[in-house]
Amino acid sequence: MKKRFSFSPAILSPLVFLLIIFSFSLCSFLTADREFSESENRYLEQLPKFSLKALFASEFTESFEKYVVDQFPARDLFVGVKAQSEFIMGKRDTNGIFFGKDGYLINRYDKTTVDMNKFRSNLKYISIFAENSRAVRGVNFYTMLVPSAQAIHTDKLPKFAPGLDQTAEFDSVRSSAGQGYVDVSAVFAANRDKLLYYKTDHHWTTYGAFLAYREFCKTAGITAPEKSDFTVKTVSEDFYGTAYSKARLISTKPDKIEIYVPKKPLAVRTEPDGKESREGLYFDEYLSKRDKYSYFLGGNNPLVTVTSNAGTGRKLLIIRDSYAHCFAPFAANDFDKVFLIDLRYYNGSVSKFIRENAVTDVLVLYGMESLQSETSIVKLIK
Amino acid sequence: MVFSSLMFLFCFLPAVILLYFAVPCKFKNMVLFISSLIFYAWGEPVYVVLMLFSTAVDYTHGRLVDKYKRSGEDKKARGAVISSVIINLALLCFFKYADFAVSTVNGIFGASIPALDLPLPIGISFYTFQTMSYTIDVYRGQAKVQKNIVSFGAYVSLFPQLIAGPIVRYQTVAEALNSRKTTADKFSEGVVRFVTGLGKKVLIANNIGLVWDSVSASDFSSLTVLEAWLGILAFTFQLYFDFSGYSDMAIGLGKIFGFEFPENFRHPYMSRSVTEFWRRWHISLGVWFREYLYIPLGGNRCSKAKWLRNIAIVWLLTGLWHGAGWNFIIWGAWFGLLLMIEKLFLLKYLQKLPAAVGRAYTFLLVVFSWVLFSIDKMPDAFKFFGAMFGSNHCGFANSDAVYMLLTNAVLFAVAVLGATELPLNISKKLLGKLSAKPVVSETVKALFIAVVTLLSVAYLVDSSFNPFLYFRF
Repeated sequence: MKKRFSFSPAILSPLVFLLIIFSFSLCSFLTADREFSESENRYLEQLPKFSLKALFASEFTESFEKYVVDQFPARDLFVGVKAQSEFIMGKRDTNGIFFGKDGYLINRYDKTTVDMNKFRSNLKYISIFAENSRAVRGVNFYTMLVPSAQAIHTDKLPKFAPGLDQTAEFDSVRSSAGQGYVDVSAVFAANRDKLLYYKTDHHWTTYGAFLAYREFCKTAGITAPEKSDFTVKTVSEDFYGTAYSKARLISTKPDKIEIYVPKKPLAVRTEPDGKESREGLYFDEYLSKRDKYSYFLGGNNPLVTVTSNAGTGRKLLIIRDSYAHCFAPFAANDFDKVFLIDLRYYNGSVSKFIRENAVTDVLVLYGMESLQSETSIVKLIK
Repeated sequence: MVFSSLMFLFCFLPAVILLYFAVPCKFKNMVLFISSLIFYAWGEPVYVVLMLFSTAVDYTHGRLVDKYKRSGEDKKARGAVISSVIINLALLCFFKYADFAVSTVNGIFGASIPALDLPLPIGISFYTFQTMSYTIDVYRGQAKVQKNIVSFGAYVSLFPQLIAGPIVRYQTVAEALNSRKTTADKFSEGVVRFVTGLGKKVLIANNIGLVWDSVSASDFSSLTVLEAWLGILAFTFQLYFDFSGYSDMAIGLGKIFGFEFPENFRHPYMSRSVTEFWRRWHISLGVWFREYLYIPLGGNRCSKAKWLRNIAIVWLLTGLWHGAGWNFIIWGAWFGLLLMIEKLFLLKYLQKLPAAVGRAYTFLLVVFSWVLFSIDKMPDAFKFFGAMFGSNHCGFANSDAVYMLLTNAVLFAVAVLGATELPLNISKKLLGKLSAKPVVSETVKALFIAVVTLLSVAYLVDSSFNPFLYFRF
């Protein structure tokens, strides 16, 4: 069993192979472990503690494997190489993202995986909650859902790519919401040649939120603002969103983030739950990070309170997911207080909140996709 | 643990290679044995007991068989072989088939015996077949008894072929277990082979498998003809590249550690008859059934009726070996039937026809068999056949199907070409031309290694890349 390595060219391929496996493993074990991945927006697995109990429950090996994978060097680079190679191979989607036309990276949404029962129960929870709020608290109640980019931008999808028809879903939302229904689909469909969604992220743009807010105003009996009421300001030209994280094509150009600054001066304070309140609506520190969408209201929080000197006497509560972040600044112009509750993290009673804070208007605002997968909406009727 | 994981490539393999080549010869089997046990225990630590039990039982039986043979007590030697076979089959049946038997009994008699719900020990179908081969080989005098329990343990648990074969009969590695050496050429061959397998698995099988995943998740009664065919063809190639890629990795790793494992696949989709297909597909399994079942039953050297009976037995069991489910039994029966028909008369005519006809005939029958293989409920399988032939009236294609075809066309082309002998012939020719300049040919190989390995790593990292969409957004 003696090994006899003479210096022949035959050692070249073994050498290359050994070099690759040893250098990457050394690299990942010798460098400091990363705690958080900016591009994946999640905490990474850390070296698990060894115990016999964990070993026999298969927990140790599982966490260790996750640890190795999570701490692998140059993850973003490899993900980019994969996306690029898929593109070259003629694939037009990867990791659930379409390589759309004009630089659009569009979330691919597979309708066959949708749990329609969950969707229907969520609608039921909302309508029960709406009835109660209207009858008992006398508040105005509105429901607004944001269509998926794949349903609106069918013209930007790759050739022959399956589009998404959400008509039936919107019809059931409309009939269940009744008079408080805010229709975004129609105005989005009419304006689909404009930048309604970010090209590299699943969220709507500030312009998209602006159009939606105008529709909301029409339903809520507020004079809808015009674009001329604002100065549009670009705060970042370097935004790479969630879709890009999963489909890093070299050719991808970053998105712009805009804000609509009202020409009529407005004094606003934003107070995320448990954190210090601050003047204004925006969190500049996020502009230097990857998660730039959190520039609006500081990202996800169980409860955010926006106080303004609008002087209308109305107080709006938005039950929402992250689509509401860039929507709330518009509402601050017409409501003295805008509360944003994220049911995923908020555990108090919403009815009690409405009573205690003398809320006059409630808006349920979700992306259509979240409404079909969200499990926390049941909290509304608890 | 699987070979195509970052854990294996960048933790386990470097550590084992380092240890294996650092220790003196007499400890090398020990390194292989222990590292194989860790490899095995990785997914299900408790089942390592099973592996140690198998090792101890078959080691003892081997010694007994040898002892009785030496003392001329053939009956006792036979008894020891039978005892070993029974224990191995009992293990296999208990862990793999108990729940199937329970559900069958429940179904027939309306009983409600609770299922065991045990996780299937990985590779149990492979290593029980290997350990059975050991005592039988010793009894038949085709291999010497192994007196060193560590070396024997290394054979039973040998991680390169533990999980998905090839099924290495004891006689093929008996000598290498006691003395072997790794040369630079062999190491190089092994690395090229391993990386080829890695690429086949990660770059081709996993990706073309996505097509089948999406087709098999849809409602079969609404599939268009094109989708159904793309789906099952994707599965056809996924299975080949997955399985043969895994065998390549096993054979390559074997070479790195100084073993020569038997070939398991020889371009099966080029076969001109089903008979030939089974001489090219999962060869080590076919050889096992031939050596230890078909020939002992009398093979074809008996009456026609017995011969057909032998084929039937072998193929029903081959089907059952692939999985505990009726669809696998029917799948085995399908091949048993085809082989009988070919052997009785069809083969003569097939040989006279042009190669292309034979290939098309074989490929089509094999593709049909994969429908039975991959869809475990019979009514669903028939619905799928219906979709393939348009009897569900969903038309030939829709835009989803065209999208699937267009975006996977290159991948399908690569898979089709890759399943033929073409790449092997081209590389042989190329390396032959360069044989006078070993530096150039070795550089080409090294480049191939670097590109395929790094690209595979990119796909593996990507599959673990898991952006959290809603939390913190």
